[in-house]
Amino acid sequence: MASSDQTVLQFTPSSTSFSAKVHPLVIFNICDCYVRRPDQAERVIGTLLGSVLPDGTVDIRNSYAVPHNESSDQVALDIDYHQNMLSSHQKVNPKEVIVGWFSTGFGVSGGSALIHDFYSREVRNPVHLTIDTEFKSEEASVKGFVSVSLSLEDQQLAAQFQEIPLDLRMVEAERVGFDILKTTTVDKLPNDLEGMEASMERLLALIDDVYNYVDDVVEGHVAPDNNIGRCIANSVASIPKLSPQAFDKLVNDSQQDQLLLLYLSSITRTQLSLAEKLNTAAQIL
Amino acid sequence: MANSTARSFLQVAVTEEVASPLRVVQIEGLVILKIIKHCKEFSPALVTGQLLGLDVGSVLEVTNCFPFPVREEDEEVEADGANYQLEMMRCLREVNVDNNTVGWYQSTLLGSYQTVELIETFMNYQLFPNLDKVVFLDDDIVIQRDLSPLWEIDLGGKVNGAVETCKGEDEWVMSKRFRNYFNFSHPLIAKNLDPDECAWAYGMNIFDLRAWRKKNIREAYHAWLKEENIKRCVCVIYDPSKSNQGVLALKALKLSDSFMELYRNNNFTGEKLREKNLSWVDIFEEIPIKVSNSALISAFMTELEADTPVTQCDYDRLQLSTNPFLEKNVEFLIECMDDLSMEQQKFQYYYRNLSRQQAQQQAWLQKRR
Repeated sequence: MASSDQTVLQFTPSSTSFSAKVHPLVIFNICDCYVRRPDQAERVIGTLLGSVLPDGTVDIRNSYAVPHNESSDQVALDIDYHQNMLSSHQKVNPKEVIVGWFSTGFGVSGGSALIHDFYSREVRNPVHLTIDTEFKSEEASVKGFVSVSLSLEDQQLAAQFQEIPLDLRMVEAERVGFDILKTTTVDKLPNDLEGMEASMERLLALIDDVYNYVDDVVEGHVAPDNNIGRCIANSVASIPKLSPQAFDKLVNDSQQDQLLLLYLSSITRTQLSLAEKLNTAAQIL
Repeated sequence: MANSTARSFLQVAVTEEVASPLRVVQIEGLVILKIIKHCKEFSPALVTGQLLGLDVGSVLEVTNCFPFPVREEDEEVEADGANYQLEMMRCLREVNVDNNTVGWYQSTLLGSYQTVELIETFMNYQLFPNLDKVVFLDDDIVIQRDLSPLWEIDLGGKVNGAVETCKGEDEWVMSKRFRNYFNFSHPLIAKNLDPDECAWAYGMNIFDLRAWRKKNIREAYHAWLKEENIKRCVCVIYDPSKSNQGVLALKALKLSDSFMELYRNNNFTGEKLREKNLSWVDIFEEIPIKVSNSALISAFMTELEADTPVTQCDYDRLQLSTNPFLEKNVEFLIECMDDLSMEQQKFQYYYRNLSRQQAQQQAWLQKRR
């Protein structure tokens, strides 16, 4: 569209198309704000905080809701509140700056351009994140947009929201465990051993899968795939080759260290309670 | 007016004494993520923050939290910190977040959280020395004349004298009633206080401490604190270093009731400790944590969960290295032993002195006879 000589209608060259990374906390917070929204409000709007990584990816790490009033054709944002909250957040973490704004609902709506305009004054190229809390499309849709302005020579005509790819990988959430975050109530946090058990089970299941696959390939049930083969070879090779005796010795040694520590601490404890008993006896006398 | 509220406070404190004990701390997933984010970003520095939520019978619901800025030694910054806290609470209230303080969270390093400071934070409440009257002035008051008549005012047996803030011309200043200050969403408060009661300015106050003592306000206040803060105060402890091993190292602690009582009365004698059967294991009580998520979040998480069979958590968990932990634990153990032997030496020294003094006293008494 913009290639002919007499360009009249053009997109101002936006910064190279970038992507955004959304941390799970942001989604959690937005959902919580939505649940707690005022009676008459249909959606919640708020500010996204984070940073821009060196490669241009926007790292969205935090968010807060901003109260707003919405009628058919205008949106009033509580700017004071926004500023207060921003300065509070910056006291805790000065590295987090405004990177955009969020709104619940499916995709971009009429008032979005106005709000986007406001945030464009705060930061260059804000990201607009929409979260479909009503599940209109019957799936959880989280979308990110940047605005590209459409101009006729010098005159600005419109702003177009262009969808950008979002990275929703949730490393932190994985660390916490989806089992805890996914269900509505968890009665008890898993302790060390239970967690270990679950991990071991999953590991064993994976090893079984690999076994079956290799067997199938050897027997000719499945067409061999060189890539998978290489991956398996790599992971097998990444384990140093140890003789069973050496491995036993390693495990036993570390276990002995731990037992020693356990012994030491229980001796200390015994010593302490003995001393306590003796002292109280001395006091009574 | 102060008089009447004081009485009702007291009555309330007496009637509400029997509260069901705290059994479960119910934390929202949001709070867990927020705590983890804050603690991790600043690790290995130790950070704290405030927990907000609701106290429902034997369950303490933690529904939100906010971080405290890293503390600096500067006094000005400290005042700033208090402002920050108020500001944050106000802001969160505006977006309908529960704004009752229910405790605080802090990060720890390899489990070394049981410190004297922790106990002191738990017990940060004591009331004033031996005075009969107090004139209290806020730090932003400009004094324009001699204030000694204030001291002479006879309060007629009432405890607190102050300027009311609802009977004047200024629309902004003179519009403050109880509803502006108290959290009337709390059932106890809604039941006992009138939201339309006139509030008073705290910039300039006189307190008659004799009347104060007569009315047992201190006990009422303590009962309230016990009810509101101390008894229902939990500390959530998170260990980022342990979480790198794939364990969600989250703990909710509170001080045990019997320890709290001893501490408040400063009764740390051998007999008392024995009487209450209190030892080091009984200082803190760990409360089981329950996690809850709103249905909306649960739906999102189910939808957005990656479908790989292996998660980051598994990688972390299956790491073999335990040596740093062992090392650190031995270090802590040695440190504690050193402390202990120091204390024991002091103790012995004290006893030797004591017996020497007693012998001297005996000798002196003998001589006098």
